[in-house]
Amino acid sequence: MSIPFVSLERVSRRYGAFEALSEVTFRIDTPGIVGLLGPNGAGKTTLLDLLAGLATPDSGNLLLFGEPLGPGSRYPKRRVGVVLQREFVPDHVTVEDYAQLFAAIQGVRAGAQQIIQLARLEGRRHLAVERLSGGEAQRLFVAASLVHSPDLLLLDEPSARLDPVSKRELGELLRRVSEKTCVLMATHDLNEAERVCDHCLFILGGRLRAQGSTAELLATAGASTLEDAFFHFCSARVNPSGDAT
Amino acid sequence: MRALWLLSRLRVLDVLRSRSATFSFLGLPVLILLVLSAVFGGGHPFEVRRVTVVQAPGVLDVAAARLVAYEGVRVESEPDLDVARRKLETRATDAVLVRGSESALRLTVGTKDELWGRGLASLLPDARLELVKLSRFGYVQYLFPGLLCTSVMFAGLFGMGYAMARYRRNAFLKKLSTTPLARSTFVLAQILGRGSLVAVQASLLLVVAIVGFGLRPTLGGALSAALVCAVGLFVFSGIGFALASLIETEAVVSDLINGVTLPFTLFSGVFFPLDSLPKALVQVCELLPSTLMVDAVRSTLLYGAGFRAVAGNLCGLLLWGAATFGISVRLFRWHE
Repeated sequence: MSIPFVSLERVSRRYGAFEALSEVTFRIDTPGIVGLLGPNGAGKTTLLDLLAGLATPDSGNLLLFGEPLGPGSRYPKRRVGVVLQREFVPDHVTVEDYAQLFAAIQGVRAGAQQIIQLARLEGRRHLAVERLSGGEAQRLFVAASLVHSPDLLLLDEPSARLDPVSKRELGELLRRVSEKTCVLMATHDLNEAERVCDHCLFILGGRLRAQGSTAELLATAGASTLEDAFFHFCSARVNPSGDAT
Repeated sequence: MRALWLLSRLRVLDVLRSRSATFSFLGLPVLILLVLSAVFGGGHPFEVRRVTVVQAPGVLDVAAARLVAYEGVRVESEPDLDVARRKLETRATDAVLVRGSESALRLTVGTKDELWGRGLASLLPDARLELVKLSRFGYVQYLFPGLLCTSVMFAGLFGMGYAMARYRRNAFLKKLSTTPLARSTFVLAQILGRGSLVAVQASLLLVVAIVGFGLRPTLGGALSAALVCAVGLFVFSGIGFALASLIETEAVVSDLINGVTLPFTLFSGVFFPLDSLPKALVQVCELLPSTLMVDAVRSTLLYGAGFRAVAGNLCGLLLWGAATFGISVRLFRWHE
């Protein structure tokens, strides 16, 4: 049996009195795109933060590539790429500067050129990142997060604020990447999720409500679209084990 | 009209809803007034006139001892005649008293101080008054090291503190924390980046001071001053780093830095010698990193002091740097 990319067993995380994640259990064994779906405040970003090593679980077991994560453990940063919900680039930083910086941080020679090519920004390398369109900037951020060929790519709402063309381009890029890489992507765009994701996780109120391939989720919800399935899962009551009733 | 009212109200609330902004806007000016009145309640800093006696430290010339009794005169010793002359030139002192050959006293003052010099000479029966034409830019030269240090101070505090708080607020630090970038590399890069800018800035200031205001630093003095500035940048970066580590909000960090820079600028000997202040305050001020830096840069740049002469100041600065970076490293968080 191969080592799973990601494995969570009854993982919980609280922020003060607020339970952001509660006893979440799932595993991802193969490359592909996994959509992380749920309404605002469902716990998607908290889950991504745990997987990105930005926070630690209060309880449960979280393993990346078979190695447990938690206090005192060494996070495998060289095997993970992260694109945050809102990426910030200091003023006047050009595409080339940005690409060079992230290539250098990841220790990839000629990585800057690789980032610019993957982002298809060869003609805009001397332009400040703040002057790129939303789609161009997002392509740059995704390309930079891939420069070290990570095994796991974490994306927090990568298509938010993108126009349809840019969304489709990003989806195509992620499809290519997902041939070898496990891509875990939080998104509110259910059409996009239906189009590009191999597998989806529905989170509601910090609990994992449902998971499976798009076809499995549609069958479980008795829905014809992922959007219908989303409303089905969101409106269903949740029992203590997190299962929909 | 209603839009005008609402926008004006929003602008007011923008300040009043932030405790730090409210304090900066309303409380700080009152606090400054109170502090200044406490410090300068006894008179302005230039009311007390300085007489530099060229003699070994701790040995007070019998004639000079007579001057100590006067409230408006402060007597200090300086073993080196050239340094005493430079102090007169830069207005760090108002008169130089030296016992020349044949035990005659020579009292040197600037031409503008002739009247005061004659009065002073009348208290010293065997003194001969010498009037010298001083450079019109003497006080500018006195100010120059302080202004240089203020640039270093701002570069360190804002360059590190504000930038760090801003980067954290915008999740740029969070992004970096997901990469293998070492924290020390990031911090060092901030200092090096700012250091390069400060080096250019300081060089430019120095050229202007030499060409425009007659400053004549020795090579050794300039190099020693550069070393002090480098250490000073390290210290103030550490203070900025500590503030950014203690406080999350970018606006509060900015307000706090503004609050910190005021006493650093005012009570570090940038504009006037510290001994004009109340004694208890002087003891506190002498421990400030800004005072250690200003004092060392002034000694090296204006009076040609060597590295050894400012070693104590450098040690004090390094202690400040170690303490602030020690605190920062413990408190530092990549993200909110």
